[in-house]
Amino acid sequence: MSGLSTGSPRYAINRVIFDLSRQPNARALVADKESFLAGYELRPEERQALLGPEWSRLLELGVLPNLVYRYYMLHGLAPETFPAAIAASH
Amino acid sequence: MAQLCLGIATSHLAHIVNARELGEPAQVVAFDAGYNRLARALADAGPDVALIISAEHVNKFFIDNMPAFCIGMFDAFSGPVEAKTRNFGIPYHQVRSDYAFARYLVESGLDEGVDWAVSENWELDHGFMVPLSRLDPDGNCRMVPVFINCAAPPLPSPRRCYAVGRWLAKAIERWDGGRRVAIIATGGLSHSVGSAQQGYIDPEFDRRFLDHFCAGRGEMLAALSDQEIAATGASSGEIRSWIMLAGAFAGRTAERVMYEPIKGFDTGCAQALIV
Repeated sequence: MSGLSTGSPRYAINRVIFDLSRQPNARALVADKESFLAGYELRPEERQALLGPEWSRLLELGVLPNLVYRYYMLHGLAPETFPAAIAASH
Repeated sequence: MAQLCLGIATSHLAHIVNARELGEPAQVVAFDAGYNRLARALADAGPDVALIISAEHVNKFFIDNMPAFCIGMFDAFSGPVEAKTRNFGIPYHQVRSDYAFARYLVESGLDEGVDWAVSENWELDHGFMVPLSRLDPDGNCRMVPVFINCAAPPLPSPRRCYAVGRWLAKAIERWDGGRRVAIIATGGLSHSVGSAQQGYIDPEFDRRFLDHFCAGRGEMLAALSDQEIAATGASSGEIRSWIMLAGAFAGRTAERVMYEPIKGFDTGCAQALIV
């Protein structure tokens, strides 16, 4: 990510997932999230939620539901397990 | 003077092409039969061009530059973008569009208070490409895509979507050449992708929505609040496409083709036809 923080409370954390999902090797990058996140200006709680991943916390931090779901799928998890994963992370 | 000759509304979820086994078989059969009915209506109407109105799922449009409404202005587009990275059930392919018609709508709108965003290079996602694969599999009709932001609040209000639909009808009728135009709206009804509510369907809301839509009571749909819609699911905002279609056919009744709350598809699946 280039430039300074925009001041938007949700921009950077959404940007991470949007950028990640557009990488041809997205699934490999998910395996080393720490390195990928190093390029982004994130608040500690945002970084922690992405690294966890803490699914319900991502929603609380303003990640768009479509991107939360895409991030879930990038982890190679089965779609039908998503509701249980969200519930477990509350 | 052009003629608005057909309105089609359908849910657009991709399960119907790539996860059919998750649905109750009888409900999937009803969904297939509905698509067949809509496809026959489109073929019978034989429009020269169709608008296809849909949400988009943060594949192209992002919060660095999020329009409320956008028209694709080109002679062809491709998709589904999801098929570039995985087996999606339908192949990545090109669809014919209509630059001149899209440009006419953009220029007219900019002059009359509908400030369209424009895209001249757009890989469409399943919201457009899945319904097209079922409604016009041979690509007989040129399709002009219309985007509504239904995914990244703040969203355009239902009232505004209805008003833009009203404007679309008037602009289409003024278009020269005596051509025939269809409008296809896709998305909804109640569902939640990526939220804690995922899997929740609100059949009562869906049936009430369909009752108003099919009775030509678009004003009732336009009066829905963001909160009322959001309470039925994180992705239910896609019904804005239906509301825009209701505006284009204001007061006209519609045939309810099907409604099935398909649990395995996590969606209240609906289809309707305005002939």
